[in-house]
Amino acid sequence: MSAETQQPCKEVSLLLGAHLDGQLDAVRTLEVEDHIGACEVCRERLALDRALRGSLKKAVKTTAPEDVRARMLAAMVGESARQSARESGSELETDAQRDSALDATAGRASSAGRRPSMLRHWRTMLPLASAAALVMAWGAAGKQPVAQGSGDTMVPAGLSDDLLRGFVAQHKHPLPPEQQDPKQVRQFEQYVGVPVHVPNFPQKGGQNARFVGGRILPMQGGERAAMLQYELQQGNGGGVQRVTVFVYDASKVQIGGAHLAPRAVGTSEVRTGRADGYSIAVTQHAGVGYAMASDMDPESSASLMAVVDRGE
Amino acid sequence: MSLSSSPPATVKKKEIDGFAEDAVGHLDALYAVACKLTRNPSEAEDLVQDTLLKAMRAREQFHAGTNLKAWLFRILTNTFINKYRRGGLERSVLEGPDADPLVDGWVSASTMRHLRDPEATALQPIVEGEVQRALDALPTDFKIAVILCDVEEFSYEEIAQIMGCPIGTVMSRLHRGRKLLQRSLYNHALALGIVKGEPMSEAREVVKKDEVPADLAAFRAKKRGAA
Repeated sequence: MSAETQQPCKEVSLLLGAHLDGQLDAVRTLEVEDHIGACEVCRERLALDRALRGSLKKAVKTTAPEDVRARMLAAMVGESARQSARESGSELETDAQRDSALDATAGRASSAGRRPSMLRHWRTMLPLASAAALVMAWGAAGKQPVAQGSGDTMVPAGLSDDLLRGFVAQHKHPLPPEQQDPKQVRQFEQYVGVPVHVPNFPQKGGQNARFVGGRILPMQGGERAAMLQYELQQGNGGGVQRVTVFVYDASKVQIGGAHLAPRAVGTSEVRTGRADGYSIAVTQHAGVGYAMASDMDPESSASLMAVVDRGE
Repeated sequence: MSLSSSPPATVKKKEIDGFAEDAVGHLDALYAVACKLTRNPSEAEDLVQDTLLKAMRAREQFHAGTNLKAWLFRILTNTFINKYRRGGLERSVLEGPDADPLVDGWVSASTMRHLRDPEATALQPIVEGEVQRALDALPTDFKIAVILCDVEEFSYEEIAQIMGCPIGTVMSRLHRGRKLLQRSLYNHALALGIVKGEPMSEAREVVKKDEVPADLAAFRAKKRGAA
């Protein structure tokens, strides 16, 4: 074929995408439409483009799962709280100080017309922050004086909250289990000081949640908790939700203070709350304290937790 | 584009302010695109959370009444690129002067008809699976441009703002990205025997000799003559 006959087709084909996107001006649109009317190849090209677009939409569109939505909301609520704490001049939150430092960086970078590249700092700080929170939590729970790193101020209030935050940090980045056999896990009693049962958590479909394993978590001050990890399979091929249960001596360690909302599940009282995007449920049964950190919503956590109180 | 994403159906409404609420209204779109970019649900969640928190921290820089969705996508895109881009290698290879120009007019009309509308509808899932795979395989810049345009329906101007590049670059990324998608779809269909022809490669484009495209000038002349 000659170059002259190919040229308009080639030119038009370059514009077909923009035509389909509705981004051509009136003159160009008319030119393209003229050509399409006469050229079967370009007509097919356009139809193929259109079909491809439909397939792409199908390939990408998805709905955020409920647990993701809940964690995002929790994270934003947390950020709102930190922001208002900052605005009111409160210096209690070490998180807030760290974030405000990041804010300043972000502000400068953006006002200079560049995007903030604070991601790396943010990502590396998270695990560190979690680790720090855990150490503080155990220290506080044991009611022992804790040697503080330079610069950090010990926050005296909210002891049990720190403990919960420690649990959540453990749930988020768990240490590997020491025992996979539930029978062996019962031997933890000698370290924890209370009987350590491995509760069975029924889930939809009749199966129990998979018990991943358990380990001892030392708390400063001599107390210890047993940490039991579970996995729940979500229906219809969904992902896995993790649940971590902490078993401790309720007479020595009190958690679940004012920040947890009590709720009745059957005849059990379960206190629930959220931290760092995870749900927390706390209950007691026969002097044994159970705290649960999970990927699920607080509602599901609470009903799962009630199993413990029924002694199942 | 429309900003008609549904507001978050949540009990937490009281605890978050209007800005956060508006932002969460775009959660599905942000999450969908994040999944496609990271190809991993938990990384996608991290990416979306980073995006939303950065948005809240930088909210003073957002001008009320302007396009929140585009602004959020700009943060998401930049966050993703900053985290995953390994140097500028990918860009220089694909947009450098040596990049092979993609020639159009590569397959016949009947082949394209087969591609978009396989006679056996049973083949449709295979084609759709290939679209998924081909999209995953696209270079990042092309993938982002194509997703923002074809899935999220941003205008070229908005995409240029989101990606921080001129509109011309957006158009070129879109064109090349779509061509790459079509090519892998075509090669896949060829391998499956849905269509007949020769495989496409970056180096060698097949132009079917029996398809003689119509001449636009001749067509116009004819039309003028008839009028």
